[in-house]
Parts: sequence; C-alpha cells; structure tokens
Amino acid sequence: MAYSVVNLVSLVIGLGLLANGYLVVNREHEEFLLFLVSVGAGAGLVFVSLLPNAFETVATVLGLEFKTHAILVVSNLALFALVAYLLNRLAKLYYRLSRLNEEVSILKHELEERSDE
Amino acid sequence: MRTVAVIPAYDESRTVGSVIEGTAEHVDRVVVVDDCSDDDTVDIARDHGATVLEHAFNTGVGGAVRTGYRYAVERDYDLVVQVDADGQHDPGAIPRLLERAEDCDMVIASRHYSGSLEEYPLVRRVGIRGLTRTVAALGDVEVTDVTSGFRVYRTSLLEGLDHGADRHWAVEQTLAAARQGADIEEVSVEMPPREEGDSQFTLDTLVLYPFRMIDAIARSLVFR
Repeated sequence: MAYSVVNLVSLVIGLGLLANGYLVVNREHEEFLLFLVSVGAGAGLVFVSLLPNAFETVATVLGLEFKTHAILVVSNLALFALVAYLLNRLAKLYYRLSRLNEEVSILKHELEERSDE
Repeated sequence: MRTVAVIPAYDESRTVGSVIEGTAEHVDRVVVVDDCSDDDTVDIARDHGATVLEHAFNTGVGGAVRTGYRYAVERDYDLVVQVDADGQHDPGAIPRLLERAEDCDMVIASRHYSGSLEEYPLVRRVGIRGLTRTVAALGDVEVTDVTSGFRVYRTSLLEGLDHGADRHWAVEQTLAAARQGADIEEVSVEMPPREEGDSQFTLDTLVLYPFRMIDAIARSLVFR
C-alpha cells in the first residue's frame, strides 16, 4: 500500500473536519446538519487517507473500471451535496438578516419616540 | 380612513424633501424608510417632517417597503400609499389613487394608459410588458403595469402579503395578491423615467433580472 503527501493532506483535513464536528457539539451550537457533514466528510477523508486502496472496492461496487473514476464520482457527489447545503444555509441566513434589519429599524424608531416623550 | 405614505429611499437627498412635501398634503403621515443611505437622506427627511425608519444595512427596495408595511400594520393605518423617493412619482396623483382604493384592495399607477411607458428604453419596455402579461395570465388579473412602484394598498391586504424578495418585489407581490383573490385596479398616471439619483437597474441587476423574475414567479406559484 503506497502512501504519498496527498494521503497526509487528506488525513490533516479529515482530522480538522472531525475536530470541527467536536467543536460544534462542545459549543452547543445545535447545528446537527453541520455536525453531520463535518463528521461524515472528516471520517471519510481519514478513512481514504489511511486505506488508499479502499476506492478500488468502491469502484468495483459502482461498476467502474478504475479507482480514479470512483474518486471522481464520489467527490463530485459530495461536492454537490456540500454546495446545496451551503446555498440553502446562505439563503436562510440572508432571510433572517433581512428580517432582523426590519425589526431593528422599527425598534430604533420606537426607542426614539419614547426618548422624545 | 387613516392613510400613511411609505417612501423607500436610498441616497435620495436631492429629491426626497420635495417628495415628502408633495405627499404630506394628501396623507396623515409620511414614513421614509432609509435603506442605509450614505448621504443626508435621513436628515433631510426629518427636516421635512417625515417619520424616518433607518435600516442598519442596505437590503434593497423590497426590504425597505416591507419595513414600511409593517409600520403601517402595527400602527393600524387603513391605507398605505407607496411613493418612490426619486421624484418619478407625482404626488399630485395620490388623491386619484386613494379615491379608487375606496372600493378595492390595491391600486397600481399605470404607465401604460398614459403613454409614459413609451419613453422608457426598449429593453425595459419589453421586460415590463413581458412580466405584466405573465402575471396577468398566471394570476388571472387585468393589469397593464406590474412593475410600477406607485401604489395604494388596503392595510388588511398587506397583513397577509409578505413578499420575500428584497429587490424586485413588485412582480412577486402582485402575483401573490392576485392569487389570493385581491381586487387590483389601475389608474393611469404619467411617470417619466427617473432623472435624479441612481437607478436600481445597474448592469448586474440587468443580468440577474430574468433569473430573479423567474424566482419571484416560481416562489409565488409553488409556495403560496
């Protein structure tokens, strides 16, 4: 089984994502989806960095000829899922921010009115 | 009938004063929603006697009018007159809009009948007509100028009409109102293209405009 710098980088990023999952729980952010993505992607990266030949098995399961194809398919799918999650999250945050803006302007005005009285 | 005018404003210091003065003659209160202007819009609006609601950051005209609607609903006004701060909307037309609003839910000042639409650039004319036909067909409503921001609403309609778009809100709002069965009428008003201030139609808006319109229409059709 041959290891390279790529394995090392994958291992570091994987551990970083696992640590992020731990921090999400530790700080009680209650962001379950973020926790799930961090732990899932982190564990996956640690797994493939320690067992680089695992993708040959994945390629066989997916019916692909080469493990490179399997890596491409799995990474693309993971990327799509991540982008969809992030876009969803951005939209939700923007919505909340916009409503907060509305709320703040109304409250600020009420405060000014009471100060004037 | 208690009437409030909502004027969304962003960097409109050159025109907002005269718009407030003209509008104040026809309503009980003028509310300027400042969308985080960099110029003196807030001070000028206050100097001219308007109630000013200040956004903490810029959201777009859709967000600004939503804040104004909320003010009107919370303060129990009966009618809301919406006027642009750039001077494009003639406050002199407000009495005609209010008169029509006595027996309907929403009145739109239309540039179609007055011929003002012909003064607009071709791209905008095509866009306005295309969107108007789309909304008219999907909402089963007879409108000729769906993107006009010069409007009067019955406050009871606004309570159940929460548009999500922070920028191009008019299409989504009109379609949602039509699908709720609101009685929408139009009054012919002359409205020349704006001469003061920066238009909301910048290059990036122009590029994104079709996608935002599709989003607005799809949102109304799918979620409402």
